[in-house]
Amino acid sequence: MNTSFFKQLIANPATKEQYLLKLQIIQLIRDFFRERKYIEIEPPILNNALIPESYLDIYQTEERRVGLDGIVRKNKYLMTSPEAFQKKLLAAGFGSNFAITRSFRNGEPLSGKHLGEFSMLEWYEQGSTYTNVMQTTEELFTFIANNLNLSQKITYNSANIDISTPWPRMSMRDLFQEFLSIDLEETWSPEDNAFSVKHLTQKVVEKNLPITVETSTTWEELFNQLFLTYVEPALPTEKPVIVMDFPHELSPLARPRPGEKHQGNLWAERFEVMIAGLEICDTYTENTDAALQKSTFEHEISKISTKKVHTPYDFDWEFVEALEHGLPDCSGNALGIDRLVMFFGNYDSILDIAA
Amino acid sequence: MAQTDSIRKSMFIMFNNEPYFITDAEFYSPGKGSAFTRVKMKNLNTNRVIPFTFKSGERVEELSVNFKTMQYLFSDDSSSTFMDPATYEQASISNDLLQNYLQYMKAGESYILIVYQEQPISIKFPPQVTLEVTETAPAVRGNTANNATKEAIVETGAKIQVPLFIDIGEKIKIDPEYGTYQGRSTE
Repeated sequence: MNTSFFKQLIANPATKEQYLLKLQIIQLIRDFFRERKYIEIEPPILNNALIPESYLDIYQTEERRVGLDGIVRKNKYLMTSPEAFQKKLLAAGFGSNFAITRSFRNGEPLSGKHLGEFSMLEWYEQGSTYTNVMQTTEELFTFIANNLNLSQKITYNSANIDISTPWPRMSMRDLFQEFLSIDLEETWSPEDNAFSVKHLTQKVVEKNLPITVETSTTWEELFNQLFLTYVEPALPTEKPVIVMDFPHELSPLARPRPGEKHQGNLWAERFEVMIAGLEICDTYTENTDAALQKSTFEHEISKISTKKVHTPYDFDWEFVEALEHGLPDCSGNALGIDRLVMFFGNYDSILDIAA
Repeated sequence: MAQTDSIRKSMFIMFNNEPYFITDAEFYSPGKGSAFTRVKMKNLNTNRVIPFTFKSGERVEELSVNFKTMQYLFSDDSSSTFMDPATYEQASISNDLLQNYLQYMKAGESYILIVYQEQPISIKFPPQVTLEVTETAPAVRGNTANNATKEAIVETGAKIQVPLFIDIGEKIKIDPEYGTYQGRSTE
């Protein structure tokens, strides 16, 4: 807990109101999934190992147990999300489930949208794909708005956002075509079986974009820079937008889908909901192929080993075992509850509701 | 050449052969790998504000500017007027280039103006300004908690959050960049 939260509550009446809204929304999320007969599970915060995700930095701590022979020490890691635990339960036959829990990510940007410790909703739908989860997400928003006695038109970040369904769905490939006239599939290199920084650079040069590419620039960096500069700010804001079909390279836990022009794991069945610049959630049709998961694990581990700033940690190979055992077809959504509260309460900063 | 690591709000850069003023800058890591500096910047030729995202560590060219000390006279809705105390020559700067600094400026005080191609484009603001509190709720004695705050209005009309123990008439130090309270002034 933020040590100043008590003092903020005493000094600022709005803090109490904001916190109560968060608690109310958490209760509504629970009602929504219980009505649908999802089992609520309780994931462990401290873990012996985590899924390798090269784009996340983690919190590490040391556990000390005392026995007759003295202290037994063990590294423990705070979970970055309940994903691994929930999928293991799915593999063990628990069926559709949800978790409402604190999650922990180190090295997050100092901004009004990020916290190191944040509240997360994660749910898994057995037998679903990401298109089903798009609908569940829309329904969850409608359910919350109705129960808060809000209309379908929500003011957030000085934009008027109509949350009535369906929300527009736009693929990453279409967005790059629309706002940059770049067909990302043309930047795929069949020889490398990967997107190529060389091909993408060529497009940047052809379009005469003021983007600097150095020899150290990676495809990931260039893709993200183009998305953040030309696509994200141009997304419509009158409705929430479902941005779908991310490059598989950036989505190691998602089920891949082939491209139109090329064979290979170009795209992942993944979507994010963006509302007026706020990224609300991240969804995959989950990859259930153990062999593919093993190779993406190895790829992520090699990326982690080149990043010297990251805290080293032990990798959760049991997760791959769970897939070998048999993960049923499912799709999962990770949703930031703090951001959901920012949206429904029209709060500028995530710090307003950080307790 | 400046590294973008050090790109800050209120910096002037040459970008794509045009002069720009950084109106906003934030570190950003999209949770998908790699780090960026996201900025909003104003083209000084067209006055258009555009968003842009630099890769962390990318090189940008800082604009070559000169400095000139002038006295601040007054502001209207769109611009602020300054005067050269030696020649009485006046110059004005668009308020959106002064940004939130404007609310901490006192008429009659001297400021260092930033001049690009003979045209004043902004002011070089001190990292800290000292202003008198003109309005606030009564001080709460003995409360030295760092994080509990109340609203105060200072002599220039700006509103800022101050600790509960601050009283009307006290002079306080403010960081004009973020509008944050920095401490009591001992002046």
